[in-house]
Order: sequence, then C-alpha cells, then structure tokens
Amino acid sequence: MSLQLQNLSFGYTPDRLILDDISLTFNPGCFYVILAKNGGGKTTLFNLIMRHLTPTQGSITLGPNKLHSLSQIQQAQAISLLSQSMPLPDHMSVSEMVMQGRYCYQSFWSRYSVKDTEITYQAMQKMDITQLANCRLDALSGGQQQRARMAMLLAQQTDIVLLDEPTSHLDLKHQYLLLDMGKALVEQGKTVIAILHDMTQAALYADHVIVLNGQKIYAQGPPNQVINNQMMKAVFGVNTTRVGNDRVGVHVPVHLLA
Amino acid sequence: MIEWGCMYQYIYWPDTKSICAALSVLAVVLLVTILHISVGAKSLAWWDIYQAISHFDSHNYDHHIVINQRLPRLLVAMGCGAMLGIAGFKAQKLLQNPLVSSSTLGVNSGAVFISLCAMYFFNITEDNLFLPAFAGACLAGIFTLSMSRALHRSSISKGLHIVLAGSLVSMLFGALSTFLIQLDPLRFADIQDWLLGDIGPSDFNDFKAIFWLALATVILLLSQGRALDAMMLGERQAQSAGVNVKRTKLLTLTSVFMLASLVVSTVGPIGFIGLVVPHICKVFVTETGQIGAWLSMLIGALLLACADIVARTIIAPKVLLVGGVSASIGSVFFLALLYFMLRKKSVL
Repeated sequence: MSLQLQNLSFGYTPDRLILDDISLTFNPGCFYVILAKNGGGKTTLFNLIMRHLTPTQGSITLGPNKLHSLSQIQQAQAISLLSQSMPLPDHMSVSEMVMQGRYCYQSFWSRYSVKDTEITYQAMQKMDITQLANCRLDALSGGQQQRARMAMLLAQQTDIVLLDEPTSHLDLKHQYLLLDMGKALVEQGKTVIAILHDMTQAALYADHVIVLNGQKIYAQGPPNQVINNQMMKAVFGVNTTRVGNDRVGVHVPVHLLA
Repeated sequence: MIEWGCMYQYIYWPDTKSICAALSVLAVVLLVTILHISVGAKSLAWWDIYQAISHFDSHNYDHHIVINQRLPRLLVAMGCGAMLGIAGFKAQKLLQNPLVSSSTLGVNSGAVFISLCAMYFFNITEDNLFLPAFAGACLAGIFTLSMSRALHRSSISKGLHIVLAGSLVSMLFGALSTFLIQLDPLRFADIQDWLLGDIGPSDFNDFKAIFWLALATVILLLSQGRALDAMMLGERQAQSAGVNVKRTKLLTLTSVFMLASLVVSTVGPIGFIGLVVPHICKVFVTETGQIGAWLSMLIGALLLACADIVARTIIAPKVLLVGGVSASIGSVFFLALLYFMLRKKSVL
C-alpha cells in the first residue's frame, strides 16, 4: 500500500506554518530518508502521519483510503512508529513491552496467543535483546531501550515503518544492525521512512532522499543526486566537499581539509 | 523450535507454582470467611456455621445469626471491597500515580455531598442514592482532574498535582456536606453511620439491587485491561500501537467513578482499600496482564472483610464503623507511602 501526502500544511498558528504544501508519495519496497536541520518539520511530518496532529490543510491517503477514516486499530496494523521520545514505565519488563506491539491484532475476547509470543520472541532475537527479556525497563541503558522499542515495532509487523532518528543512543554495531533491519524490511516489500542526521548513512541506505527546508521540500531523489555540496551549504549551512569513490562518499567540512 | 522460556507468562501454563498460589489463595479466602462469620458479639463454632449452611434449622437462633446476619454482612463487605480494589487498581494504572484512589481523588466526598443534596432538596430516600452519588462522583472527579491539569505549570512535583487537587476538592465537598447537615441536623441524624461508612443490617438489600450494575462495570473495566497496559508506554505510543486513547480514558474513568459511587450509595464512603490494594498486588504479580485486576478484587474483598472483623471485635459487644477502621489504617498508610516516596524521589 502506498502512502500519499497531498498538499499537506501544518502550523500551530495559521501565520507560522511548520510545513507548507507538502506533497509526497511513499511506495512499497523503498527506503526513504528524510533530511532536515533541527526544527525543520521532520518530526511534525511523522506526527501528522501518525494522526497525533491534525493537518491545517491537505490530506493523507493510505492505499485507497483516507487516513482519517481508518480506526486506530486499522492504522496500527498498517503504520508503526519508532518514536524518539517515549516514556518508559518502571514496572514493565522488556518482553512485556515488546508484546504491546501485538495489541492491534487482538479482538475483544482474545488473549495473547502462542503465535503472538513467537513473533514477539523473534522480534527480540532480531534486535539482540532476548537475554534482557525479563529485565525491567528502567534498568536498561539508552541503547538497550532503543533496541527494545525497535523490537516492539517489529512485533507490530506493519507495511509502513516510520523511524524517527533510529540510530540515536546506539553504539556503532547496533546502529548498523538497526539500519540493516530497515533494509531487510524494504526487501520484504515494506516501506521504511527514516529521519537521519548522518549523511553517510543516508547515502548508504536510502533509495530515495527527501530534503525539507523552510517549510517546503528542497529536493528529492536518489541520494547521489540530492546529497551534494550545494544542498549541504543551502540547507545545513556547512561548506563541505565530497571525499570517496563513485559508490561511497563522505561529506567533510572544507575548513577541516585545508 | 525457538527457546522461549522467558515468555511463559503470556501463555496459560498451569505449573506447580501457579497451582500452589491458587490453593493458598483459596485457603486464605476460606479462613477469612469462617473467621468473619464465627467471631463477633456471640462467638460461633465452626461446626455450627457448616450446619447452618448445609442443614438450616429455623428454630436454632445461631443458624439465624449465620444466615440472616453475618453471611449477608460478609457478602456486602467482600463485594464492596472487591469493587473498591479494582477501582483503585485501574485508577492508579491509568493515571500512573501510586497515590490515587477514589478517596484521594475527592470522588467519595463529592458523591456524599450530592447524595445529601438529593436527600435535603428532593427528599430522596437512602435506598435510591445511586444516581446522585454517581453525579457527585463524576463532578468531583472532573473537578480534581482539571485542577491537577491547571497545576501542571506550578513548581509542585509531578505526581503530587493530582493528590493536592484531590485533597482540596475533598475538603471543599466535606465542608459543604457539614454545612448542609447543620441546616437540618434532625433530618440527617439517622444517617450518621452511613456518612462515615458502615455496613448496616439493611445494606444487603441495597447490595443486591446494585449487584448487576457493579458486575457490568467490572466487566467493562476488565475489557480495557490490555489498552491500559499499552497506555503505560505513554499516550502517543499507545495510540500508534492501536489504542483508542480517548475512549479508553473515558471508559476507565467512568467505570472507576461508577464503582466508587455504587459503594458510597451502599455502605458509605470507605477509604484505604482502593489506595492500598494496588500496592499489595504489585508485591505478587507484574502490572501488565489481567491477573493483577483479578487479584486486586480478591485482595480488596479480603481487606474489607478483615476490617469488618476488626470493627466488630475490637470493642465487642459494641460495633465500630468499618469506614472508621479502614480510614484510620488508611491515613497512616498514606502518610507512610508519601514519606517513603518523597525520600526516594524517584516516583513523584
């Protein structure tokens, strides 16, 4: 199912818009990366897709349906979000938290089944946290918490996956574990939309990069076309030059090379 | 096949541990039941209790005590205790605050005040107090919750907003009730016991009248259990997991107010039970899953039955008010809880 944003605008007050007339299409089997500077409206975009916020103008459609016509359960079966900030209750174990990802597959009378338990366990295996299954959440490090959140999202098994700065708090091994997991989801035909700050990771993983600047879409397309010196200067205000070969490159600030 | 020993708690698995737990729970319930019926102004032998239930003899005075006095009283105590227990458990879980219960939210005082208003202004009898009590409970609850939201910007630490708001609302309605009683002391003379919370001889009929409504409310609360589990992760995360947050909040709060007002209209305001039950539950089970809700009902029932035993024996043959007994234990418990939590500083 493809997710479409049509002429989407949002602002807390009408005269100060955060997003202005954004139209985007997200297709299955594609890894999207959204780049913008802080306060550039990335998280707002996710909040609109998750219906935490209501657009001032425009609409969002999921496949044939308007998003706002879906029930909360239907939406949760289609779209999941790895949130940047999520309060973690003290009295909950990791496995209990990951199990919450199965909420949207329960009916009124059902209880968590063997199948739910299996899926939960596999999600924890993929995120390398099975040994923490019975640990309380407040005993975990930031990175372990982030992996637990990602496992919960995997247990939710949605076609569209939103990742809000998924690599924050993680050490290098688990940063790539998580991004590889995103890539694997894309290969299964799912849509992954990630907000990243690291240009190198964006260039390595993205099929399609979207750059937001000044409430509008500044540029979008394949990473090697979009991530260039002009864009880095215009959007992020850093003079960079590209170092590397044709396939992989790193943008380094010019003044550091002198 | 995967190794998932760590996941056993999600699947029904009658291992030795849970069978032992169930058996010991059964033993405790039986013990409290027998104790409750046998002790009192006139002590009864355990054998007489058994005989009264199995071969009732209408000429035997002891059998009358068992069947017509103590058994109904026990059922009222246990039923109301269970309602208070689950209401407190769910309220603490929804609001993620260990100091919340129907008494600390001011809900009980609100229910009492509007009930008194109904009696004074509309001449409603003591048997039909449910609707005014429910109105009062909702009024006080909404008052407390909106006031605690207004306190959000103040420098008071986060968990104390709602307790402060609740005690202010409680004081307000308490003062208004006192004022109303003074307008016509004779009119209210015979409900003094009810005002403090007491299980009286006529309460069993009231309890039978509200039983089905109480059962329906409890089922409604249980049906929100899984959604409340997800809500522990915060409203936004719960929403993206598929929870209809507004509906869950509305249903849970309404049910909690409903149970509180049902208890108030039957036996009067009884504190302590709703506050302490969730803390006892946390000792035995994890907070997620349905088992905690069932256990909270059981512990609530046992606690109120025990409070009633204390009320009937401590100055026998006179009988104390059970509301007084539970309130005095409850306020000490509440102070201790607050003290240790403020010292730990982690929860509030």
